[in-house]
Amino acid sequence: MLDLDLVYRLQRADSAAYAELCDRFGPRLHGFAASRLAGDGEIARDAMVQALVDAVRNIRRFNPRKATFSAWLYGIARRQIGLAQRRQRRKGSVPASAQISIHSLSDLPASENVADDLANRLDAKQQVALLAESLTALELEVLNLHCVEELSMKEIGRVIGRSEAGVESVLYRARQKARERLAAYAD
Amino acid sequence: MLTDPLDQHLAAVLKAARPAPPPGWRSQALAAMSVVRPRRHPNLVTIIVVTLILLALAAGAYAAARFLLEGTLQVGSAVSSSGQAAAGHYFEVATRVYRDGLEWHTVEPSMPRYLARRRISPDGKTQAFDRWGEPGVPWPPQELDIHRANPDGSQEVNLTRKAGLGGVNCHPVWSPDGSVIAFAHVDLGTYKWPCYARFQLWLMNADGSAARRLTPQGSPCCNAWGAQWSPDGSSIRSNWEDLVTGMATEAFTVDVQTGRLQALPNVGVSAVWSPDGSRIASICYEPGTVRGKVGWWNKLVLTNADGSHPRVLVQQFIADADVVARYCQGIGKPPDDYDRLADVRRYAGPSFPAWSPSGKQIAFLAALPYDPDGANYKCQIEVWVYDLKTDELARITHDDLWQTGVRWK
Repeated sequence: MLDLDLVYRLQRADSAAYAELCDRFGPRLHGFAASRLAGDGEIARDAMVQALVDAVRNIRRFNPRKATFSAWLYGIARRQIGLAQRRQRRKGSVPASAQISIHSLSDLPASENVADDLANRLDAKQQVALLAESLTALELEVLNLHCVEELSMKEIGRVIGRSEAGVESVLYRARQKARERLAAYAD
Repeated sequence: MLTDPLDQHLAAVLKAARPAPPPGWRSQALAAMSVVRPRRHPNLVTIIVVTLILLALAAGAYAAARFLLEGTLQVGSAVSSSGQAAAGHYFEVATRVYRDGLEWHTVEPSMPRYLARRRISPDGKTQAFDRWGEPGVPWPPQELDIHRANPDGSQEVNLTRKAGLGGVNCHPVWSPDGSVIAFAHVDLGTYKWPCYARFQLWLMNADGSAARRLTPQGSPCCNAWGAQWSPDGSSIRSNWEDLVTGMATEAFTVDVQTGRLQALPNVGVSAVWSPDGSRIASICYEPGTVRGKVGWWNKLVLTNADGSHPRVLVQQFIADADVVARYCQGIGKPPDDYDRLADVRRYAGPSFPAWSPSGKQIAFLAALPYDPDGANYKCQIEVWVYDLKTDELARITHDDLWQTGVRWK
């Protein structure tokens, strides 16, 4: 309901709605973009901003009978991420999967125990890097949408253009691989 | 809500690995969003309706502009369809007609009342025409000469006299580059009216010099009408002529340099090269019988430049009986002249094709089908255009005049 209310206000170009859209979905979209772009914060930010702009521009095209607002928004973000990746490839930059994203640790959140946070995030990044070695980009993307964004199978299918059964199949393989990889990491 | 421990672990790891948005992302996003307004997207019905309207407008515009894009048809409408003049003497009352690119016109009132057939040079700066001497003296046996003059008639020069040619010289045709004039020539001694003369094709330079015979010795009689240069100026196409009937028969080309003759099978009369020289449109006549009536098929035929691959574009059967009936209705008396009947027959079907400048369309003349009980007793001849791309036939003129020629401008 909140999403639909937001949509209604966005369609009327309500500036408060713009801010709400930004606050509610900006960090999530940025995180989603960063996960696809291997932590390249600048490019992920640009993709996130462009996704928000596209969402506002095309808000009248959103049809709640076809998809939830989140799924529609992630679909837009996914297209922007794809464009950013193509731009990266054209520029001949280092492949996103090969980038070391330690530099992004500089944007640490305020915390009393900076050393613990740093250790946790470094550990998490190492685990994600291991997952990225075993999982395909699509499997990693589905894992993100399922575990982090908590989208349903149907919504994920809408975002990536697959059927519900197809998403379940991809997710099953992703979880199998992740389980094996994380077990090896723990050892 | 994630219940599986693996999912929960993965969620924690993936979330922790994600970087926070760079500083200033919110203001940047809001600034970018503030200049954007939601677009109004037309619904499907609107799109379909607008598309249909645009298609209809485009189709209408295309149909209207088709002939304008191809060129303007210049139609000679010289005489009324009342009969007498139309039956063979049309040029005597003509004021301005065009026939197969050849312009017939009466001379200015200040000049003797004779007829001139003139051809404007390709550069438009001069004209060549044949003219016989004194008014009132029948032709033949007068000598006929080819003259050259400015378009306004000034600075007239008798080219064939200058070249020392006597006899009958007529139907000048400019080469594509305007440097040479082809014409029909016959000595007076071999010309015996009403029998037909042994015309041959000759060439001379545009200034009247270097007149020479083109068709080799021993050639059959050339039809004086309708010689045409190939677009590249390398050869001339014409027809042989039946000395008994005076009708054009087989088509041929003659090489301008060598004088070598080459027959053009499947090519009839009034043949015209397409602008690129790759095809020839012509009129072929073929005897036939339809529903017990004996007559002739008049066919507009398209062939390759060598006469191969004939394709009949338009055909019309003209019954001899209808020709006679039409003639009688036109002039109010039985026919007494084979020529005039043949003329009516020739005009009744497709005749005098003319290529559009792009080579996509062919204009031609043809009478409406004969209807003894209807209103078509006048045998009005109309201009039609055949579209080679769409195979569509369109009637261009709808007036009560005897169209005597058509050409594209």
